[in-house]
Amino acid sequence: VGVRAGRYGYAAAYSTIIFVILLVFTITNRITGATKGAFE
Amino acid sequence: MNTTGESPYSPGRIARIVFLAFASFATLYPVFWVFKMALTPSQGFDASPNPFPTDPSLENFNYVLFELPFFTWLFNSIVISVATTILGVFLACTSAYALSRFRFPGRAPAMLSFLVTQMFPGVLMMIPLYLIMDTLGLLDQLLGLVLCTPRRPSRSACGC
Repeated sequence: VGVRAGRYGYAAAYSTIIFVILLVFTITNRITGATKGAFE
Repeated sequence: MNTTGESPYSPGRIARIVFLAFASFATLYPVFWVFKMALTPSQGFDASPNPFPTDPSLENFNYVLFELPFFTWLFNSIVISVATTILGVFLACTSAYALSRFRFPGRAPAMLSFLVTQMFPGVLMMIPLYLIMDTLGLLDQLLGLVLCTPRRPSRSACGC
């Protein structure tokens, strides 16, 4: 998004958003146990 | 809880805690540093060691979320990952079932080819795949990417 153009703020914001999406997905998975069966 | 019978203030325990605290800080520092960069309105590379933003702003998030086609990219990623998973699992299940349950001519070479194709790096297929996708008119299309991703039968068959 921004690293090549030297726009490190945009690149950091983009990676933070992706991090938050993955974190929410992981926590939701843990709470609901949606993928629990795959590890049994 | 101390289950080893060791005193909570023993030098060994304190040394372990200090080491683990330092390791945790060293692991989390780059993450905090990225958060700081995201919350700092300037676009420059900030080399200061302070991992906390001095003048926090959501300007960068606003730009990425609402001025760039972020949600289109997210939608594309979801479509590709779901379609790739369905196709990959379908190929893996059908090929694994046939190879494990039936005895037919060519079974052994097929199993061997699964093994051999795993020995080559995926990047070797880049140019052939590009030419194939160009011939099929699937360049720059989601369908082309979906067909490319689970392309290796060995990976599909072993589920990786």
